[in-house]
Amino acid sequence: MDAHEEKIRELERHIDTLEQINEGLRLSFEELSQLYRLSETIASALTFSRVLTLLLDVLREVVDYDAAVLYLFDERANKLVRNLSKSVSFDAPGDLARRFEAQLADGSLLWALKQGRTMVLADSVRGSDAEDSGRSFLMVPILARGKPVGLVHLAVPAGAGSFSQRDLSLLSILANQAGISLENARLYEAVRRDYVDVIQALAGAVDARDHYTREHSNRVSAYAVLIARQLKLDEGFVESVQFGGLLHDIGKIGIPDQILNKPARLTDEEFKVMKSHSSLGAGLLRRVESLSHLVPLVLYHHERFDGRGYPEGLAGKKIPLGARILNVADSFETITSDRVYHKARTLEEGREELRRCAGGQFDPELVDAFEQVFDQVRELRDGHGLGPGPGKGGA
Amino acid sequence: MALPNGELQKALTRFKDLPTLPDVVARVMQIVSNPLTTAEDLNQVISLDQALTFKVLRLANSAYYGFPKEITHITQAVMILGFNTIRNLALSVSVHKMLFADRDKGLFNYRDFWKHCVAVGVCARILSRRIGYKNEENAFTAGLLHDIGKSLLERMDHAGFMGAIEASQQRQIPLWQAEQELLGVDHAAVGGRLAEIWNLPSDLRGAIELQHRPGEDGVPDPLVAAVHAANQLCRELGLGTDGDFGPTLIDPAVEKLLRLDAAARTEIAAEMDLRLKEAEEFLKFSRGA
Repeated sequence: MDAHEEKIRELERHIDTLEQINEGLRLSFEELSQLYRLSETIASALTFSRVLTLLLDVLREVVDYDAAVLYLFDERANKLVRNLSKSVSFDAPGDLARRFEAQLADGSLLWALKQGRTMVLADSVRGSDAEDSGRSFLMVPILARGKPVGLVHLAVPAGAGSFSQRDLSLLSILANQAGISLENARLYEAVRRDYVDVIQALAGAVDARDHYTREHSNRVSAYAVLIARQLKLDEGFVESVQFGGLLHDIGKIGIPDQILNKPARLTDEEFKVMKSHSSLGAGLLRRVESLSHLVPLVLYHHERFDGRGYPEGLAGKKIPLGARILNVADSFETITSDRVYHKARTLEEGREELRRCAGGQFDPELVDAFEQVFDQVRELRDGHGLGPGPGKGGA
Repeated sequence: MALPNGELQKALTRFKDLPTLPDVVARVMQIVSNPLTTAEDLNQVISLDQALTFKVLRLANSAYYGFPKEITHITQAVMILGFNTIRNLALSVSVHKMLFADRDKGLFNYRDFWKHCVAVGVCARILSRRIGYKNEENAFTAGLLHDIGKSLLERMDHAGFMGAIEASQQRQIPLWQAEQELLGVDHAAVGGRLAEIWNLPSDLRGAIELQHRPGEDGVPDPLVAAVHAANQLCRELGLGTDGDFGPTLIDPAVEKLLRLDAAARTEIAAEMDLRLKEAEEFLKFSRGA
């Protein structure tokens, strides 16, 4: 019986040990899950500025800071440049802001960045010893593949000695996750800029063939964006209207010179060729995957609300919204610019013409929207290099 | 090259009373190995030893670390230089006091020997930084301590160790080879054993033990590689003396890992000049700072 009880006690000890191990594992699992969740949050950001904002949010879950400043590293000038701040203002620097500034000025931040390690400094402005002040400053370098990108500077309501190695490495891990995300965002934004540049270059290619339409594509794009914003369409849609506006006449690249630049009214036969530019343009864009979503806009930008347009004679809401918007913008731009076969009419006259044709050529709801942004249209024309110029086209 | 474990044990029994690490330093290592301890925990242990505190702060403020303001407190030093660095400084200070304090005997000049150790530390750090090794501070310490086995051999069997140096010089063979022939054990093995008894972090122990056979298991460990190459480069550059008169050969696998071509060697030599000046404070503590 004694041996039996001994066995039971031994088993109980084993169970105790197992429970302790289990508790330890549970804790590390929770830590890992938190780290994973926070890293995922940072990684979800696509733009540079979004990554920076998220990093400050995420760090707050690890250390409860009073105020934060985020700097980016300017490698050429070997300088940290303030980019974001939270709960501290530098416009009329108070006590806290001055302490942040003092550590930047005395080289501590740059030193921490070069070490690539999270560091803690006691509140030194008071000139006191580490223990005296209840506040300390954390410096968390942001590295991308070992290269310095920036630094997060945090004012924390805790003594410098109270941080553990784990606290500091957790901060470093998250900051470096942000470093990688920043690099990705930079790449993404660079690709994006290339994309926009290519679209602009394509639009420019039409303008180069037909110099009377210089600025035409830019203006159509700008007007279409105003209308789309007025309709509260989402940013993705606004962007497709913007690019669709730039590229709506891209098919004119395939129209013979003597028709495109003919200094007189076109014959019926010539007009038929001219009309093929919308399907030619759609055919071009269809072959580029990242531009293929613009195909319906370009293909149908000459459809009319009453069904008497081309190429398919679609009517009403069967015409894609983006194409209907482009049609309004394109027509207004043509009316208010010089063409071989007519002098430019005033913006006011253009507006009246749209109103007159609402429900005929144009979707009346879009004409309403256009009238609501008319002041902005006028500003665009008066102001930013979109002034009246010679023009033709708008077949 | 390696001695069978039984042989080492047998050889080591000749060296009774291996020096023990001071209690303070043993506790420092224990504390730093726990990720949940704070800078204040570390401060409380180090502050118990005033001489150690003083030396650690002096090194922390040296040009080698180059922090722009004065560090006046151990807690502050830990938060600025990191837990690892402070552990390494405490360790280096103690080991130096135990094994490197001046004692000039014949061919073996401890001042020049310590100079060699500091140079290898500085060089190992440069090498590890060049390959993006995460813990360059450990590379410095591994270099600093790589030859603790020699000190131990000299202290435990002065005549035997001197004989090994002489054999190395006369026959132009590596010192470890002469040691194995004459003493039955070499300084890398003895140093590794000491590191084990002292509970040094396993990467430091590995660098001490494997310094002369870095590529044995295929791709060398970066820390071992850095110490191995730094040792040979410093001997080539004539920085300090280490009692070894064998050829200065760098293991080909290490050469490849560290990308040590002629251009790299020139760059490293130039950086050594600069960095050694900054490490002056480390040389000074052999003059009993």
